Amino acid sequence: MEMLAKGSAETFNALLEPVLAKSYAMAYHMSGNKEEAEDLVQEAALLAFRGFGSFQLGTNFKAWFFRIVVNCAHSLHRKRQREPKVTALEDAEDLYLYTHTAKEGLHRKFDNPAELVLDRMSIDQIKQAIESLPFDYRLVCALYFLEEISYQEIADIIDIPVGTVRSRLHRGRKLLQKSLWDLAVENNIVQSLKEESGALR
Amino acid sequence: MLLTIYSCNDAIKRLDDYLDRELSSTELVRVERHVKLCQSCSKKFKFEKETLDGIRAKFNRIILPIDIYERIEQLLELESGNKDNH
Ligand SMILES: [Zn+2]
Repeated sequence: MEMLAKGSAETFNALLEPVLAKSYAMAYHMSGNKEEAEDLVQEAALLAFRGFGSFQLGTNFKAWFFRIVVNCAHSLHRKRQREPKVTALEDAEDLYLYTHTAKEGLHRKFDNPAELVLDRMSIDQIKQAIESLPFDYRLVCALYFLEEISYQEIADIIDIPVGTVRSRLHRGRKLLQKSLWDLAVENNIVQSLKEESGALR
Repeated sequence: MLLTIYSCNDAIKRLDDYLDRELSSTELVRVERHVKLCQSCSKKFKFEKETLDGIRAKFNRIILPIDIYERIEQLLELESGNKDNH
């Protein structure tokens, strides 16, 4: 095997540093836990370093590195396999948060009650909502929400057809909205907003 | 052809693709025309966009552990060292 020149190790570090924070956030959303996210990013960095010879300078390093993170997350997921299969995944309707905040009468006082609901949710509750999605949906959603990239770019990173990205994303974000709403109800966030909107009346 | 008017249903069906800028130019023109004319859809489109932006902001609020960069550097140094020894 060809040895890495000192220059290329430096190049590698220079390319890696700016994408590390996003990669960690992605790993965090994909694995749903801090320790695993740290392990994933470190493992990905090591694999990327070993395979850096195959990276073409001048092409998109971030996308290249994300692919490696996704692959690591995939194999970790396969090892765990503790999640139920995605057979009976229920569907959520369009505009889930819009419809439900309207039903609760929150549109009368608040311009966008969904934003308020989200504001009041902790990182931990957001994490729970993401975790409720099946792994394949979580991957697509993590990339979508962390990066403003096209369906095609997501497809290239995960290595699935663009139509699959589109359908998983559309469905995934409805399910995510539903799950966020359920958590907001459980944690009395909706109730307190209702009370506040009443108090303002 | 371009003057086709979408129903609310036609417009809402395209909401996700619209927000993700994945509509064809013809569809885009039609959706925008509908939303301009329809207050109810205009409100829904705006609401959905703000909601997704809100989720995006939450997703991005994960902070990188401060020492991870150093740990990776050490890992890579070790790896380079191993290679040099061969
Ligand atoms: Zn309409």
